[in-house]
Amino acid sequence: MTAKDTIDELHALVSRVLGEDQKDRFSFELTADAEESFTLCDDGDRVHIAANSGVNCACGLGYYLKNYCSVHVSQVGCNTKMPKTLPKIGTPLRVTTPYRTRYSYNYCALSYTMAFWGEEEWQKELDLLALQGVNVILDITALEEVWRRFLCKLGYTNDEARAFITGPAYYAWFNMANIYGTGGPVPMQYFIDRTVLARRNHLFMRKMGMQPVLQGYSGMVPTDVKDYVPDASIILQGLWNGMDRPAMLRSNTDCYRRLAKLFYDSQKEVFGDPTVYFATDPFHEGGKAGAMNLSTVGKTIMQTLLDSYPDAVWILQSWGENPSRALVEGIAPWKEHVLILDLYAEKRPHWETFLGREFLSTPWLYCMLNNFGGRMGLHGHLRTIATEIARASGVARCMRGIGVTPEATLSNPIIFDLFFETIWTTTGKVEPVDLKPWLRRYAERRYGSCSDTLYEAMLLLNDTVYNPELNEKGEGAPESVINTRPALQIKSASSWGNSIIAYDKKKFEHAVELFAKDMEKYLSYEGYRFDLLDLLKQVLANTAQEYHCNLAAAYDAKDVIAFRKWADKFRAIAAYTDTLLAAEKTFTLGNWVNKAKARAAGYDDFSKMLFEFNARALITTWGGSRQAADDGGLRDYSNKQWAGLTKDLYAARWARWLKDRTDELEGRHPASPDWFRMENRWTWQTDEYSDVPTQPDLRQAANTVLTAFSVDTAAN
Amino acid sequence: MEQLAISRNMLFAQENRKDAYKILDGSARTKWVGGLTPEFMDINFDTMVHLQQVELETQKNSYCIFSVYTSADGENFSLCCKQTDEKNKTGVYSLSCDALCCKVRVYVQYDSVSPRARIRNLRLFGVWSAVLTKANITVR
Repeated sequence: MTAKDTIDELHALVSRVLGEDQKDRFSFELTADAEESFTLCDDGDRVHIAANSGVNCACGLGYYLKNYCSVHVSQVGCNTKMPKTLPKIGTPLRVTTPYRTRYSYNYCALSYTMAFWGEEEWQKELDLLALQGVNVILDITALEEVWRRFLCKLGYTNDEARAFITGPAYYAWFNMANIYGTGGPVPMQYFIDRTVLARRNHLFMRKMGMQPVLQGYSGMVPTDVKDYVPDASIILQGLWNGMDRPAMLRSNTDCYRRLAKLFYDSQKEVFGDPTVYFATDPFHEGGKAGAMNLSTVGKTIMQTLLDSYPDAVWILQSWGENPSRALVEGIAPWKEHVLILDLYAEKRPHWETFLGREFLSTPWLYCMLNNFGGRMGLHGHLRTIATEIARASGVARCMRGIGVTPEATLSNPIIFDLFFETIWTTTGKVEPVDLKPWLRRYAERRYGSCSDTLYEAMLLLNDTVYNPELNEKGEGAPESVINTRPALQIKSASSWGNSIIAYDKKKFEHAVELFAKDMEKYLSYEGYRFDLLDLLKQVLANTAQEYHCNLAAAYDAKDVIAFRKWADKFRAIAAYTDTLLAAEKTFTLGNWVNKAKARAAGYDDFSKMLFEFNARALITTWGGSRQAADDGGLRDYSNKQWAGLTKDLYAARWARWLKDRTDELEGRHPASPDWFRMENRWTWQTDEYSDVPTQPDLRQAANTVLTAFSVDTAAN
Repeated sequence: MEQLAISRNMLFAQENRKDAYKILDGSARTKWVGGLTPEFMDINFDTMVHLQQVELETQKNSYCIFSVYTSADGENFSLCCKQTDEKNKTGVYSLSCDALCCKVRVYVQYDSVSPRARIRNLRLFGVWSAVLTKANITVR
């Protein structure tokens, strides 16, 4: 890769993000700087950006666009209106970070958000990551081709290998050794298409000096592997949340070493050598190590990885009780070849308490998880991000960088915008971010300007939905009661979720009123439209929760008149939620299902059916099995506030339940519904859903939400 | 129309392949049990047949959702017929078809009495197309 390739790619990035007419306004230079840094200076009418890699140049561009041009780039809403004359830098500005690693993704995000992404979506994402300075990216694209080749090397036929590999929505959990086969088999052409996509993305990363994180091998094999590899010694893993798990090889065997090499040979065949980073989490989420000494497991995984990739860095997730002390002790001789992700550091940090301090003095990254399953409420720990990364930077000796590890993206863009800028500094020291001025600047960038009223709204959002002290319960955002299976008592829609809203709902509503007050000034900004609808949907979810409490109280009091009244209101708020969501493409079911359909467009009928089933099942029954959905607790794990899904599944469930409870109060005895049957039937349907946003009058929509569905209406 | 003879080496199940032959023995007491639904079972004729009827036997007094796909090239499958989630007292489902194919895929989407795909017996009816070859047939 030459410097010209990198600089050409940077100009192409400018064209894609800002427009073709902007690309010559910037010049780039690759330097031999040993530090992670970028330097900005004036170059006549242009701005010159110098750094030691493409990604650091891109980060410098992102810094300039943010801080000088008030430009905002996010996954959900951009403001790329450039000033006619580029603002001057004056004295050249050097910005540095002490951290070489800026990491992205949780395996789950690559399924819950990106399962059906093609070239266009990935390029947009990689551009955004580059602008944020992210240089290490978990990438499971086409790993299925690696597994296919690996299994064929073991003696499996092509059909047998494909039968073991999951469908396109489930690759995250397949690669974490949680499941196999679910939602498959995909056609051979898909293996080819995904390999082309992966190589294309790797090429971009290579030009930019970014690296993908590929797969480490920790022993996953099919349960029938002994039919093909007679000396294989395996540990059956039982179930993962009701789903069958693949087996794991005992790592203290020659067979393990042989198969690990075959796996890495297969990976090199598909991808070459684009990286030094490899992720694997042996015995993830309840996996069984049998009587094996985990120190030996860790040591063997590390040695086999280094045998194939001498410079390898093994990335592990610190999640739950993992990694164990024994495993970390086993890999202690190779600490500089290890990176531990403190996966949920913004809320449950492990780095100060887990395994003593800093994972027995092992290199680690401060990571922000925030999102579980792609569930969509407003939620985040803004103040923690603004202060704790700087604090960790000041006291931690083994912190090597930061990362985002959400289970899905496309929500709460504000926390991502803040997160990656926290480690870049002009003073040489990572400092806390002063949130109040930052919030004003954020609003100016995202919404074009920021009135005092809008600023007050931002401060109130910081005190409510983004207040860490009020977001300490449950995992991720509070879930909408509309999305739950109907019941009188509701804890959450998903098994591990919550619907606790600890902030003052009325205070939040006031924030939304202020946010909406001058909307005509901001509506031309797509980020504003997205956020306005996002805020309004949260008001609806909050009020629906109150209506549900009233419904339950009326039922308990056997007050049929009151029950009917609140049932009507609940049906109305569910219906209006669907109507409102349809106004934003990201909030439509069509935006998800149609991507699945698009990926399968050139394939056969079976694959078309399969891809659509993958898309529908993942967000509802999860895998199409009652055992996993109900006994395993996976149903609605990835529930969404999406138009189409709300109307055709969630509201339909509630309609049935409301009728049944009304019948009961009136002395009839309705049969209990089989919710799974209803949900499963929906997953096999193939009706069309639009991803074209409606164009409602947003002033009227805001008035409707804030009057007809205000939380005050639950008091009447 | 005749019952198309199927031998065990024509069968390919997504899981538990060694028991796939049990769908051929005509007994209601033996069955193939695969993985968690949905799961598939392929029947590879390796020559062209005109498939006219599919008869699938599962559990009595339950419901089974399944689809039958057919392929003329062994790789690309077209939907042939499907069964929705209506309860069935006998456990025997008989679906009419009209497809020229060399491979049939039975896709068991759900079984109301078992988390795993189960087929007790499978019978395919149609006509062997001895004079036709894959190359000169356009499958509907």
